[in-house]
Amino acid sequence: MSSTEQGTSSAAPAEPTTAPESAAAPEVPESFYYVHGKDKVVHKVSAGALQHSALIHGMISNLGYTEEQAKANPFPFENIDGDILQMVVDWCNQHKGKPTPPEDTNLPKQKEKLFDLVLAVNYLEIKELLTYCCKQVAMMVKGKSPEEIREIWMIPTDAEDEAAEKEAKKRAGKEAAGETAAAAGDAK
Amino acid sequence: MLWFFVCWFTIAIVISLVYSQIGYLFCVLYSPQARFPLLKLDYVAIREVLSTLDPHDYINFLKVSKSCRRLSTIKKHSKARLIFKNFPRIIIGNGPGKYYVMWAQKVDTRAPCKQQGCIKCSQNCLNDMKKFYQDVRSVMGVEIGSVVLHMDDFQGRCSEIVSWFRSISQEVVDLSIYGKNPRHGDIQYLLDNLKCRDRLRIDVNTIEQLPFKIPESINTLFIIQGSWITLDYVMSLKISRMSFRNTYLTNQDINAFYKSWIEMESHQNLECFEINLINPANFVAVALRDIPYKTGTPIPKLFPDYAAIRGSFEVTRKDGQEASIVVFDLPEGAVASIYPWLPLINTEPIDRQ
Repeated sequence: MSSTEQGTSSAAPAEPTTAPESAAAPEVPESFYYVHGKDKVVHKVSAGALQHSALIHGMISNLGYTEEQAKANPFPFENIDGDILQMVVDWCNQHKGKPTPPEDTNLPKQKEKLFDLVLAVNYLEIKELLTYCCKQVAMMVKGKSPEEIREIWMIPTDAEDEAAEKEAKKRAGKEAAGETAAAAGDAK
Repeated sequence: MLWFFVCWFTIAIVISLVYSQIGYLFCVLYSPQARFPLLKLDYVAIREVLSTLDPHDYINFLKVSKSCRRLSTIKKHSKARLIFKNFPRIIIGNGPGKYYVMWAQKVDTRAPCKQQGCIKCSQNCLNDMKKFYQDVRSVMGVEIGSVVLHMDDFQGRCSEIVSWFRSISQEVVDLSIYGKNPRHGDIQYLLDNLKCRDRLRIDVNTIEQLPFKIPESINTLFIIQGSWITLDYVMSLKISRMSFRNTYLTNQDINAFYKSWIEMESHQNLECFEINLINPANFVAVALRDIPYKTGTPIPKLFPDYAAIRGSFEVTRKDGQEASIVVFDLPEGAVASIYPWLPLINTEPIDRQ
């Protein structure tokens, strides 16, 4: 377990001055869910933190996933690397129930990590974190020339695009011819 | 023997140099930290990145390749506001997402470009601004929303601006003209040649103080320096929303206008008529003379910035159309507004648009 939320409850105590009857009511313990990435390491995350992810929130509310079911079967995200999922979980925990600040300086500076993080965040539908990450991606090309942008964002030239398109067409043609030959063989 | 060592040493140095260069090139070109494969991201993420780019970077991105230009359709563009003044500028977008580019002959290059804007150093600011807008228009498809002309900064270059403008756009939705002492002929030239479709704001003190021929196509007219405005001039206008300041129209003139509207002799499509008051103290006695009215309370928060001096006067036109007349206390003085009760009226005050 790599969560920072283990065993704690963040349910806010009722204010006695405004709602004395609710002060006597027992505190509702916060529920936790479990997720794992490609490395199968399970992360324990509170329901409050998971509110950031529209995907997981939808799974919980639409599929009626209970905490017990979740414990037995953690949400599998096989397409997300363990360290990236850890980053996402940490971010969700840090921003649980808080208004999101206009800038987030804790995002990874390495472009490879940032790429994987954008993919994961987009998949998990965490809008605020996606906005931060995309701002950082946009800042990579601030004040750069078209040629520099091509280099940084690995954009193929028109000639490369055309060559790739021709190659794809050739491959598709070969595959179609192969299928026709196979079908003719079967008919014989 | 010595010769053998020299050869061996030289070969070793050459090999090490070649390997170090190869290693350096590999690091620069293929290091995962150096590059980011943007186009391999999901469509939603690419759109988010592109919407964060400022117009300069966005234009450069679109210049990279055809596939980038195809992506331009996923970003929505708002209209541009072109401000022709000493330091010309273009503002793209509205609200928090708006971005400006300004041109000046001297710029402190050490000052970083702000997130929401940029100042460019140029020896020919006007030409560079025009070129930038043409770039923005051709690659981003941003159309002109409004034009602001400060005439004092462009004496003698009116025809140049107009001919450039006419070469790129058929009409202006919103046109504002400012100036302290421009020639009447220059302003009239602008009004005749820049086709304004909706809103026209004129804040000029011409040397000649002559009336302007206003295009009838517009819906909203706001004249701030209106010392030359006469009752006949107001009666001749066929515009649904009018606002005048610094006129010498008397309360008798205003009374004549109101009576003309009530009798349906003019301005049947009126949505708002706003005029400064020279003598607010006798407004009720003179401007509302012989006009039947009921007193009411001004519609709360109709014009949030306007403070009503007293309650409203509800009047009724011959055909039953009702209207409110309200006197407001503004920083520049008292103004009287008449606005018919129209179901879909734009209740925004004219000078606040």
